[in-house]
Amino acid sequence: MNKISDQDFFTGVESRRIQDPEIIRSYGITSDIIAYRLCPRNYGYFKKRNFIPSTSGQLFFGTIIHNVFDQAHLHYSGRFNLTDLPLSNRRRGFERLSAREMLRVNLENLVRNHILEPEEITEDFRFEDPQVPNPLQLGNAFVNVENSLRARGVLNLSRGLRMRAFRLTQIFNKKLGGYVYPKIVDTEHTLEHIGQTPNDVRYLMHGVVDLITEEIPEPGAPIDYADCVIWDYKGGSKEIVEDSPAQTANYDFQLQTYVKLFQDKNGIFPKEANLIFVGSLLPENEDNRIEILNIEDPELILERIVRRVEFNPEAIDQAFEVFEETIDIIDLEHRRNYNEQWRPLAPEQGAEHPTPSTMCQTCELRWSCESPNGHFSLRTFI
Amino acid sequence: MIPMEPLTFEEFHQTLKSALNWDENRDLNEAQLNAVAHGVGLLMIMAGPGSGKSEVIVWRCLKLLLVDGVDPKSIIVTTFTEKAARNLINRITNYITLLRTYLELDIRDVPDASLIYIGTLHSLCNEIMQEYRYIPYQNKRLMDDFEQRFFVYRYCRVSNRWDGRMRPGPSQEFWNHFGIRRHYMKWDRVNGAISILNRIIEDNVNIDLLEEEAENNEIFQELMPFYREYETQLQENYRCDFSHLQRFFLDFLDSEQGALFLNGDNTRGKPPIEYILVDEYQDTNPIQESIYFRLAERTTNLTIVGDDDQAMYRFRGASTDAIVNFNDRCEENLGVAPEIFQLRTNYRSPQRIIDLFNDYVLYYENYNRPGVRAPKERMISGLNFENEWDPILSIRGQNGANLAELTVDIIQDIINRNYVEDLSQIVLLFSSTREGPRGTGLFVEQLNTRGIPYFNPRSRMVQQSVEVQQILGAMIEFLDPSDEENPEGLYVNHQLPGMGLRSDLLEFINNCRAAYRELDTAIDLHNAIQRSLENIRELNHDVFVRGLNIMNIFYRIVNLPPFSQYLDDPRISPRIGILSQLFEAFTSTNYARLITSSASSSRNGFVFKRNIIGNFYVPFCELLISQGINDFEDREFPIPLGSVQIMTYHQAKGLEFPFVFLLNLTNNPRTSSEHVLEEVFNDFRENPITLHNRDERAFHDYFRKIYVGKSRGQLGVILSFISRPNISAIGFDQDGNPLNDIRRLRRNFNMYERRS
Repeated sequence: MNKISDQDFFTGVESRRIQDPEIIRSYGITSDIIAYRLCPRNYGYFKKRNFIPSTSGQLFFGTIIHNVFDQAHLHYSGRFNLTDLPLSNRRRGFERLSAREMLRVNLENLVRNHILEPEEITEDFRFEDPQVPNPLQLGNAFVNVENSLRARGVLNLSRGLRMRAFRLTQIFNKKLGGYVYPKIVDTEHTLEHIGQTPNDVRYLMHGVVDLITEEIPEPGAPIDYADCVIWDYKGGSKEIVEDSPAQTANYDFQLQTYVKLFQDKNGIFPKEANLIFVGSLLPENEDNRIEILNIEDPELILERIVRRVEFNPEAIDQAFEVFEETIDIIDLEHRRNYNEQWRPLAPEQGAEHPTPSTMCQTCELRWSCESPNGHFSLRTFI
Repeated sequence: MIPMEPLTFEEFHQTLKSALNWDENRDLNEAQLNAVAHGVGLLMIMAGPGSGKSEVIVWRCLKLLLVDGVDPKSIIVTTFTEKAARNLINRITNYITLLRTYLELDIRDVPDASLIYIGTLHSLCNEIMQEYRYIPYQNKRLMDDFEQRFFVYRYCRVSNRWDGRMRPGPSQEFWNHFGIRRHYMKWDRVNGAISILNRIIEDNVNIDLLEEEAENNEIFQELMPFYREYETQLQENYRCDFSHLQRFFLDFLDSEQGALFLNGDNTRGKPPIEYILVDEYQDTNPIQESIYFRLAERTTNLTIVGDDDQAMYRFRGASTDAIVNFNDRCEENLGVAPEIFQLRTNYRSPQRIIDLFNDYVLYYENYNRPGVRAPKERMISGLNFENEWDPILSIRGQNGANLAELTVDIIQDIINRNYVEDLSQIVLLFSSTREGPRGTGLFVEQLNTRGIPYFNPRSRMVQQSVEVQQILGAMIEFLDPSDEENPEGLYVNHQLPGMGLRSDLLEFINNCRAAYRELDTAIDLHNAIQRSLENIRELNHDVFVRGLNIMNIFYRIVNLPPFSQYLDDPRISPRIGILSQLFEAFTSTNYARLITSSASSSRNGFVFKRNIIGNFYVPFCELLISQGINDFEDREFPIPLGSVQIMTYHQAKGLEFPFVFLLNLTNNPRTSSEHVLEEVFNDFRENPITLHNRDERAFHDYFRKIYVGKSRGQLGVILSFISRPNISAIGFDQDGNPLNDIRRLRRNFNMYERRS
């Protein structure tokens, strides 16, 4: 019998050193940095550990609004025809109404709620260029975006939330569409920052913003970046966010960082950096709601839903520093022991909880969280 | 702002070298430099294993930006994996940043490399059609492999039994015709159907021709309604699979929006597409080939990089015809011939290993025929070692168990003799890494016995781990509750003829239930389940539990102890994450069929039984056991330190390891459905090709697989086989004599064997 240790093999081999894998992590400004700052635990599990949430009301809300406006704007600019999107007339399974019939019911509901006038709901599916989409066309975009989100597993839980999103898109389109769409110059303006040490690239930071201009631009004219406004949609309400200093600070930092990256890229500051709180178009209070619906002047409406984020070189540097620190902290998290990674934030004594309660309410891991914003008990599943 | 002036090639070469801090001895070799410097027109870079092709692609991209002044948005680079794409992006960004720092330029003065389209062809198709809002592709959910299976299972008649009373599926002849041997279980039919459906798209089959053929051909007469149904279901359910994604993209390129993408759009400041670089071209399928030619139609600036000897993905529709006959294909499609460079210097292995795989491919006449293999020169080593050692060892076992023991002997010895710095420098390559009782399982057992950690993420064993079974057991207790009358749940007592479950599924369900019941730390969970069931009983029997789908139940369960503690366990938590992904894919195809509130009602027992069997046990649990679920692989650290790596030959593509063990060398090449499907659809393809005999193609595939395995080794290659290896696995000696003879093997390689 041969014994392996008696045999001569690989003798003299020159062993190879283990090489550190080059990792340059790429951080999205909202998808990583803001997400981590709001809740490291949620970010860790759902972004880094590849858990998939079953539903997310918040995600649904923000995404549907953004996607519908994007398609409405493209329709306006003639690059996309909302009428071409398929809208099924077929009933399937248990469904009482077809998608087309459902849409009509939803629009009639808006008439009952005085959001639309009866004559606005036409059968007119024709496309005239350029034109603000009519309620039926916009509704078609909504149903399509909604179906795709549903297909992607992003379901809306409550009918209330769905209807709210539907109404908000219709109100925005009706009240502000004609004012805003013509001024949109870019809906995918990418911004990037390369974080580097003297010898290497350390990380990439990136974001995408919508740009609109103060005046309606000449067709085909090059974009005048000095006249551009960074325009970032939020699904929530201005009043609620502004009540929370922590949330306001996060959003302000976000826009200030966009401004810095915009300046790096285009060599000039944007004219303004605005957060658009679409949720404020439909306040909880009925009187306020009616009041907003009765305003005709789009600029007056924008006054109520826009937060203009202040920026000066100092504020920008400060915000950017905060974000760079966040990247360092996320990097550090990766190197921690598995069971010490991605711990939730806890409020300091007397201060508000850094994680918004709305986020905790839809988090799939709220019941096992050691410091949630709110009380969640799981005595029964239903 | 003052953009950077274009450099001359020589300036570019020297400046980049300086910026990268390369010393005088370090440079690209002549062939690499020629490939980088190539100007306009078609270019084929034949890049053997370890020949530094990634470096060439990075340099070539930078050359296009900095010397030729090409707009980054005019360049498309495709890679085979997302990981390769990320590596490429990282390296390009790193190099351009170092160059900028070296030249003391401002960020706005150098081209923005992040604007180059870099990714897998799939990810780029998706990204570009979204960017241009291509209407037919709007609002689609892109399905991965598992989702596509759930989808076909749920929506398509093609997965039904042929003798079903309602909506019968395809006949036995149908499956036989397409070479699908396993079609008796529903999940096998789902897999078979997916191979056929994907192949129709990937082979770029002309559907009109198929329809015509169907008039006279019974099999195609059967096929077409299934195909049309699948397409309709995709459309109606807002889905797209990876094959159709490419089909959409090819159509997009012919659309108005596609013209804006290809030819540029002045109104939005988008430049036209000028340069296309394709990596791993040997694994290109016919529809991808059409896409590349379409992209390059205007400029002919197409660069392809690859090596036909390393092609491995026929089962995903790839065909080596694209690279082997690239010259002819270019003439046919673009009317010009490509310039060809071969990168023949290997920077990975010592010359003996290079000779091993060189000789291996050169001595088979059948494989070296024109049209099968591209002509190329032998590879040479570009490394200088101080010492000399014999890098090839063979191990001969009497049987599987003996071979496993001998193999782990060698591993132990490599460790003891400090030939490696870390265990992850050793890899075992198998044809399949599923841990069965005979194959990989024997090796895993040996490693376990000796306490050597190993990493085998694709063992398809996740469903067998006790924690996963505990979670599923808790779900089963809730979905299919037991009570005094029915201690094993309703499904056992209410089995009706024709509704029986497979015995292994029944066993799996029982194991899960038992695993859950054995938990003594789950008091809160147990109470919550019982309270929920009581609440359900009080509800109206016919209503749905609004908003509570299987995923919601899953997340409620994992939030309670002991599972909530598992969330922080590095071994278990990733598996819970995988379960969440599976449930998400499953729920997305079954969202309308939630659990009814009549769950535990004896009055509605039958209805419930049908629901749990038809909605959960068979469509979900049976998939777990019939396919097996792989572990989580960290995209950042795919090769974890501290463990011996166990991989398939396919997984090892693009990787290198100091010590490589080649297993399964006794197996024979096998013809399978992929070789049959290729033939069946060839006549209907937009570009039919000359196909060799199917057994020969199977042989060539086997051959390339072993070639890839042999060429992974940096310091040592260990050939492990039982008794007598397959002739096509080991190859020939320098004189051209077959090496499967043991005496000849002993003479050629240092051999380790043990007789009992």
